[in-house]
Amino acid sequence: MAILNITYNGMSADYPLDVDHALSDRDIRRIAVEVVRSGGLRGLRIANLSDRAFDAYVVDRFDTPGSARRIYLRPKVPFGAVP
Amino acid sequence: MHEVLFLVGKSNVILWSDASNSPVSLPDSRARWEAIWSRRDLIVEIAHSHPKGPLAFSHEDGTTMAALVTALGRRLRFSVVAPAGMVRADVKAVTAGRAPAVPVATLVREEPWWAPLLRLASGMNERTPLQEK
Repeated sequence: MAILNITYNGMSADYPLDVDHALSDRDIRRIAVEVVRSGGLRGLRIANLSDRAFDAYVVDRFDTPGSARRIYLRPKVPFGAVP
Repeated sequence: MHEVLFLVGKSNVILWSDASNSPVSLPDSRARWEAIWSRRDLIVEIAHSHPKGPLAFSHEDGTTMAALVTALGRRLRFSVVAPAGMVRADVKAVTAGRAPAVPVATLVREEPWWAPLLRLASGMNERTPLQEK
């Protein structure tokens, strides 16, 4: 069991993930697209969301003792004169 | 020298800042994202320095700007402060998940009070005159 937090369009919401195996960052992004398309997050349903909507997002994972793993899908925030 | 970032609010108030150890990059940081998210209703502009230039947004800057307006769901102003001057760009929020193109930056003729401070914090010398073509 894990909790996926998605931040998009000014909203941040949790979505329970009933998985018992490790998910790659690519898996997380793909799941997030489908969750938003299907309206799985309250107040955030975008049926025509691009497949690449979360390409510029990063995944943060946190294990908290005694509770579900927390997974945060958030925008990347690096800046710089060179990549 | 190192890159420095300011979160700027109304009336040019500096809300938060951080810095890297490099003159050419400001690596990704969850703390920076949390600072932005927690101040999302206050932020007017996100400025960072390019101590060694260029006086322009990089590709990395552009993709980060697009990701941020997508996440925040609103227009934001971004700027780069370099030795030769300052450029700005207003980036619109997206709908339906399509990332916006990186806008053309405009040269800032009258810099805000914090631009020299950003240069100083980045280890730049005083502003060097822009060579007019």
